[in-house]
Amino acid sequence: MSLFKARSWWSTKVVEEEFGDGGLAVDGDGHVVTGSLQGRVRVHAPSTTTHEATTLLIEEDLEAPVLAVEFGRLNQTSVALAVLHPRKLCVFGVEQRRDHHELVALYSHKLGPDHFSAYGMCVGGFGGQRGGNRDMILVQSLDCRVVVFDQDAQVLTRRLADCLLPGPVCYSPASDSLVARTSALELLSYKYDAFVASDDDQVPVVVKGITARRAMAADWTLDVGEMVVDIRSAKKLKLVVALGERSLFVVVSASGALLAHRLLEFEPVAICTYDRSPDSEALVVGGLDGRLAIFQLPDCRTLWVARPAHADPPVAIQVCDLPDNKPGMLAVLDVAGRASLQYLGTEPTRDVAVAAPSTERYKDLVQEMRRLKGKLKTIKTPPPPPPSPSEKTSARRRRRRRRRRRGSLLSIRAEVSIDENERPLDDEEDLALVRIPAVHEEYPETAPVEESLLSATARVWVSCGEALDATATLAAPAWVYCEAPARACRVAGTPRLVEMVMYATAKPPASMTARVTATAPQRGVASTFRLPLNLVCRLLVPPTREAKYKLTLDTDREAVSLGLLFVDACRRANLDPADAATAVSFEFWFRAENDNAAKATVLASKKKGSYRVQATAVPALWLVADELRRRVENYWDEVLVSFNDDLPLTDVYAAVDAHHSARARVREAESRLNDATHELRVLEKRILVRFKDSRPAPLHHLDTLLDQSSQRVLQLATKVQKAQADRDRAATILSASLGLFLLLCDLRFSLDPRQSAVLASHFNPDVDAWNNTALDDSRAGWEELTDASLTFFLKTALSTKKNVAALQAPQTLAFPPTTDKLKKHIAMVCDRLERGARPKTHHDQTPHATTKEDDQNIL
Amino acid sequence: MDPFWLALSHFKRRDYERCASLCEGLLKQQPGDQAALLLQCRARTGQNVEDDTELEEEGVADLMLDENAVSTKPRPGTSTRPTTSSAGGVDRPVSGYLRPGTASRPITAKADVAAALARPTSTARPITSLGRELRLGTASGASQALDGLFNRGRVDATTMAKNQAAAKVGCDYLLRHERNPTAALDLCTAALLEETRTSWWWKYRQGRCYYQLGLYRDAENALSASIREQRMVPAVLELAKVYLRLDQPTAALAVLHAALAESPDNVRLTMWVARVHELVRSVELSVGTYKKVVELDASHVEGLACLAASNFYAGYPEIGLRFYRRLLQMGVAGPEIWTDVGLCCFYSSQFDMALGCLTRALQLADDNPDVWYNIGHVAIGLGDKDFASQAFNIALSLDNTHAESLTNLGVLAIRDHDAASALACFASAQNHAADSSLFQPFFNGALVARKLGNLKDACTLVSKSCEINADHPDSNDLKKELLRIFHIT
Repeated sequence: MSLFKARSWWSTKVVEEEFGDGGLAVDGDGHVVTGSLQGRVRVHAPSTTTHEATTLLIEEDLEAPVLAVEFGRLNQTSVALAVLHPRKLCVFGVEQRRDHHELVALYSHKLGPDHFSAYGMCVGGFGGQRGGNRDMILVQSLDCRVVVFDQDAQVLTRRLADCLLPGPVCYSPASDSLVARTSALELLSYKYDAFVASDDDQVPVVVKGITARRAMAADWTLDVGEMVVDIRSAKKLKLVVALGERSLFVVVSASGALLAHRLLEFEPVAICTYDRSPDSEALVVGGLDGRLAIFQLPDCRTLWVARPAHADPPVAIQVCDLPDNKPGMLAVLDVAGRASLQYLGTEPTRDVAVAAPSTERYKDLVQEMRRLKGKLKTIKTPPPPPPSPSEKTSARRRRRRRRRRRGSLLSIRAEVSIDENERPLDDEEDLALVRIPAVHEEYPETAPVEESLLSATARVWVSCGEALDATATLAAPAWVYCEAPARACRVAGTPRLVEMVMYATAKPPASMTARVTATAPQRGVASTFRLPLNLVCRLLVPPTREAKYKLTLDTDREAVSLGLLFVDACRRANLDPADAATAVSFEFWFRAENDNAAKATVLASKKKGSYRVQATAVPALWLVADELRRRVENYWDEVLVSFNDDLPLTDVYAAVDAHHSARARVREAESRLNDATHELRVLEKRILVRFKDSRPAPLHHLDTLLDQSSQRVLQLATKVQKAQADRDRAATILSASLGLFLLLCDLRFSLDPRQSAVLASHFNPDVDAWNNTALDDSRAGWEELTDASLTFFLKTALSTKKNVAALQAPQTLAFPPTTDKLKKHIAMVCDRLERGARPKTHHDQTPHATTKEDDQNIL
Repeated sequence: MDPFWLALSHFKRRDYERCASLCEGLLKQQPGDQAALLLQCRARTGQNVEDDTELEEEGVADLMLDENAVSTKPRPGTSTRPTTSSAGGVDRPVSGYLRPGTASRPITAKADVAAALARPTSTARPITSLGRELRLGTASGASQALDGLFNRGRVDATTMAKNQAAAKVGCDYLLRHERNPTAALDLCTAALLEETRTSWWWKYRQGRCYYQLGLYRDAENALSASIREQRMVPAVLELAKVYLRLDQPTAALAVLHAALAESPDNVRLTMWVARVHELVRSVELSVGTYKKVVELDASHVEGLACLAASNFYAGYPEIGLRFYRRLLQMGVAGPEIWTDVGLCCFYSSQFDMALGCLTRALQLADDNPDVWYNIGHVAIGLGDKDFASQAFNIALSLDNTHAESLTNLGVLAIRDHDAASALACFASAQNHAADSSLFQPFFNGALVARKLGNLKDACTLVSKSCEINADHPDSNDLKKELLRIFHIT
């Protein structure tokens, strides 16, 4: 587009008529002639001074479509108007009779003996000076035949070679040649002489019985590579300009050499050459968007670009000089049927200024915004940007506090109750609660315990002061199967009850604690509860003596009847609590190493007030010992439970080693899977490359390789799955061992709850969780993490020195090849505790040390 | 009127649809009409024509399946890929960065081309560089006659190549309408064997086919041969494109300069030289060449826009403003240009104009988050914090992943002494800015964390910031300080 706009000097519009590409002609006297496909020819004498009606000199209906009009020296040497109809060529003179003008028919030709349908014409002084000072007319038919008329005589008929589609033909007087296009995207030039010398294809020449014909010899051809839509000649520069679909070609008319090739940035539809000054010529190109571009010849440099005065794309452009010293007017005929005379004005377009809105509006806007902000403040807190995970809890707490301060009624409360803890289960009721969940065939361990369909129901009350949609989520340990761990509910006013059924499965248990969370938009609350003992085991009658692991817990009170301690289990087994005073056995759902169900037994010693706990598996031992301690402590208001034997470090070490080797196996399996998938990708890529190639190399059994490699990937993936299952089992046992170890430490060194929490936090007993994060985020696993935290623990909280020394640079955590160092550190921790050191809790330390510890811990 | 005459007339006026339908009618009456068939073929090609000389974007699939081994080491100055050491600096986004999207650059006037480009991308599939060349087979609007002519089962390339006109038209049809470069390549090869007189055109088309098939070396050979025969501008541009795809901008420049030596005033060639300079980040050369483009063609939209952008980034917003104003006067209007004008006004301290321009941009863009972000920026410059945060909030409501707005909201929050919400803003900005070259949220987050005494987070964030922009002095200083605290030297 351009800065400038073409100015319309004069225009007239014809409605409901169409014009062909040759429908516009101008003569030297400033007459503009249009001929429409509806058969009307109009002659205008443009002027701005007279009324529009008087500028139309002649309007005549010729009763046949007008394909083209053109002026030329057609009446001897005077100028006449040639009008081309599909079947007829007429030549008229424009004459003035007193007060009006008239078209006077001079002569006409009927075109072709047979189906000759005209496409277009070209007027020029063919043959140069020989033809005298007059013009001839060349008419081209739709099937690419050409007929040349010299005044009222038909001179010759020829067929253009290599031509399927009729196209523009242009006469170049400089070389006396006719330039046309071929259908093979070329430009072709014939000398007029060669044209004449060749034979007419209509009349075969028979020489000695052989039909022969002198073909037209082309002067030159030029491969332009585009379909040429218009050709014009520049007489002074002896050039021919061809308009392609997207570019301009400037060609020397004598030799066919390409002088310039300009790719246009717009879609050109019409061109016209004109004399810019006595010795230079220029080119006008009309674009599909209506623009008029003026180019300098021969180098096609842009001289001027103007936006159109009227938006419609032009059909034909001519340059004419008006009589009263107005040279270089652009006569434009456009698609809408408007003929106009335009000139290239320098007046810039009007729509420039950026209308700055008035200040009053700004005031209104500011006021409106103030109102809006006030409204927003009353409705809600400012829009909270999505907080980062680390900031989430503190932000939430702050928000809640803020709400409470304002006396808002918003709150959310979650309560957890479990039915089985309170009363023995009635069989019928129990069965009514139980629904049979789907059994996973691949992992039989995950199926709930079959024979009993043992289940517990968690009842969660969610309440809130206002109506909102909340979600209650249950996070149970891995050995519990929960059908729908997350439930959405609509809360309004009164507490809403959500029941969640949990089934026991045959996985070894590592924890008895479950956590329930309720979340709603911008609110959340959590609560933990213990799962009932009956869910994980059942009472075994009579008690068994089978045992692999044993330990003794001492108390400073007399021993309680075990039937009273485990009254819930006795009731469930229909056993009178008095019958089980000194010994109870439990059978767990999971299997011990000997492949029998794991069993645990508690024996009470009346005299000493001590209890002996023995089991066939570590998890069983840990669960029963833990449960026993809790129940004993609950039974007496004040009791000291202690453990006086050596800590069972060997069992812990065995569990650590088993977990370590299970992890190593997983890593190895994963690495092999990685290699196999890499191989698979490489193979896939090679095959893809062949697929993309136009001339692919043979496959060379690549497909077989791909098949085998994908089979291997599947096998290895199964192995990885198995290794992961093994690792999970090992992790559970390790968890249980650590739990037991921490419990015994607690009892043996009589740690207070805070100290035991610090100790537990350094041992990371939730091994499964660490393994899962290591899997997902490629972070450190349990061994390296615990090793690092124990090292830190030994140097800080369990340090014997008074001042904590500056620590050296942290090392990166990597999977350790052996567990020796870790075992050594565990032993050292025990040793220190044995010697009387107690872990320092946060309350003992200065705040400065706390930050320091945090920094070091994470870096 | 004779329908064939009308069809020819419509063809010249670029009304390809009506031309093709007229030919269709003719072919129904007379199935053997060669001329109508040829014209219909050409019209269908014209409907799908796009500017071959535009550089396409390299898609993800291209990068993945690119078997052209190119040295991965940084070659500053001779490669279009960004060097790993950010020596070039993030300080100036290359304006050409947005170019291949084609939407951002006002192409002078090609409504139909834009439509042609927009069509294939509507299907959800990974875009390869030939993405716009590929079309779904069902969308073919070809007539039965055309399908018959170019039915791959029936027509033989060698037979077809005997007829020059049909072969050339058919080749374009196969390449542009059917998007079947393999078939077109067969035809090219057959035609080159057939033809006794040499033809640059066939070699050029052969090069195009190879290019579309991704065989760049073959394309290079074919195009070089074509240029040796006759140096035509489209072939030169195509060869330059091939070299750029091979990541050899210097070779591309050599080809372009050789062509320019022959026709020094060619606008398109000059513009390409400028583009290549811009791609290899030699800004000065590129600006100089764009100036030449504008000298040659004073209404060249791309040249003017690039000059405006370079002036703006060089710290002359008033001069940039003049160029933009010229573009506006030329009738190029869009939200991008109004935003640019607004920013130029703002940086040359014409605040009232700036807001007016941005309002216009909003009207045109129909609530674009980028425009609102810019408005917020202007508001910060005016010192109106409420207005600024409101603008950023609106930007976020339109696009909640707008990292720049989040960062600025964070900065405003710091001003309000609300460190927690500032940190939250920065944190989510960091999440969303993960794949861009935005280092500010990291640095700002580090600063706030440092102030709150959270040295560990500060260190992590500032390291990230240094990773993204190694040349940011403040980040480097902060990192050094933090490392000193941690006794790591």
